[in-house]
Amino acid sequence: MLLFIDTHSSLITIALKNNDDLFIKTKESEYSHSIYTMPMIEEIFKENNLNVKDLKKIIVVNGPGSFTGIRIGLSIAKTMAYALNIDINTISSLTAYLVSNDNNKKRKAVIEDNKGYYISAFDENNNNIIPEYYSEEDNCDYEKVEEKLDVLKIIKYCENMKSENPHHIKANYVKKIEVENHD
Amino acid sequence: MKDVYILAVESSCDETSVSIIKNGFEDIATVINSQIDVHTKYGGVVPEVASRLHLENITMVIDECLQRANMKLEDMDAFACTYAPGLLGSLLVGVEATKALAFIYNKPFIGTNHMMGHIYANMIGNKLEYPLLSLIVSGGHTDLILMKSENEFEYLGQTLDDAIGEAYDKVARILDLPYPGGPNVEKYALQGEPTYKMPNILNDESYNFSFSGIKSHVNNLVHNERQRGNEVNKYDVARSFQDCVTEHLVDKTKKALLNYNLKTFLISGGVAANTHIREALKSMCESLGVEMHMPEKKYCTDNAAMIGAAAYVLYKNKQFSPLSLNAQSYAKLK
Repeated sequence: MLLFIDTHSSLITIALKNNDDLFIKTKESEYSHSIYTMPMIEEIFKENNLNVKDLKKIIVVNGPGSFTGIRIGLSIAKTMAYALNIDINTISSLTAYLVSNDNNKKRKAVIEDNKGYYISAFDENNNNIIPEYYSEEDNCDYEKVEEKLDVLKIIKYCENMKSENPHHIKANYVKKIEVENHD
Repeated sequence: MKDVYILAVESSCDETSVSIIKNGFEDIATVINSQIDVHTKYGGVVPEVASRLHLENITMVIDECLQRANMKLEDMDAFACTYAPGLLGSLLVGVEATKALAFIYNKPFIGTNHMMGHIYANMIGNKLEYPLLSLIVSGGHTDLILMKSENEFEYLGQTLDDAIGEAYDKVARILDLPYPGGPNVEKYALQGEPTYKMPNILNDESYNFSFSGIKSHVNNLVHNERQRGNEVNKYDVARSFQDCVTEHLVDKTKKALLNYNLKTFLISGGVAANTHIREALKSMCESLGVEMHMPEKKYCTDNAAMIGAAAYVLYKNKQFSPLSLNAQSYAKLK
């Protein structure tokens, strides 16, 4: 059984895959991820009569995106993986969009915030041709994919990844914060 | 009654702390991961940096606490955390991690007010008699609270402007003393004499406090001397300042103890670690025949043991929180 958690944007996505069944819950939330995320996780197990103790793996989106949103998802995910002693993988929000919109073309994913754009691009074979970066303008020429997640494609993409140590799970902020620029 | 073990998490500012508390007063294990070295570089706590470090450290601190206690998560009867007041991004890490544990082990989740924690730091290894007067002195608070029982909080007075710890930090800045300012002002005061005249603070009938006037006074004093080409004696300024604010605390506390005819007094919060303030309040209490409680110094600054002690009171009263609990930057005790 696998749990997927994405809290990087205003759309919270929680998914649970058990054998061939895939259950998905989504919720629009502005600044209220803390109110919704953990109850959504609790409900997705309850509604489908599944036990969290049977969980084998967690995939969590670790950014870029809302700093607070990311930290909420990651705090839950790393604590669950640690307590249950199960596998955990992080996936970038940009990569999640790119593998979800797998159209056999060169393509980019773009996430906009109040000051600029997080950008990354993949080629036809899902190779990362432009590593993630932050820019004040969207200066990448490839076709832009939709900000839509395909959980099954994401799970497949992470299938052969080695599990990360929950203690070492970090956010993928990409952008530097002001104090870091003065270091 | 069966023993109750609570795992408590504190992440409201720049310390990631986890404790296991037995029956509300026995500290089985406490781990405090301080970020002080990182924030010293910036001259104060940077909220975004604090939040990031909490996220990186949270499970390691939980794990170390369990190892020190030689216990497992399965052994816990409840999971508690600070949900307010504090830095939102920092609080959220502890809140969400604690929710996850409560969900997995199907045990009560107890969101706890940080200030209630400071008060109950006095319960660790101790027994309290009610009614009592509680003085919280920290970087964010200066509160006089009447407690008629263990879960009743009536605010008698509060600071009208800066908290006392804030005033210490600002005076440290004026005197160019390094972060953390408060403890450094105390160190300097120890070696100084009260030679500088300080203002008479808020000498009224209320139980309120005020610390911004004296901070401005110190600022003007140092500034005026510098304009004349003189340097103040930092040790004497620190001592004069400390004597003045201590007297203010003692006066208001004494008035509340007398007017409400209370026989028990307790002090808590980060500034309660200040020896000069502790001793002055203690000798005032002795003169009135009031029993004074103060936490061990290690329980004065932010720690999860006090959150576990406070959470035990909520546990006994079945005051559990839903998993939809949000962190809050400000929340008064009820």
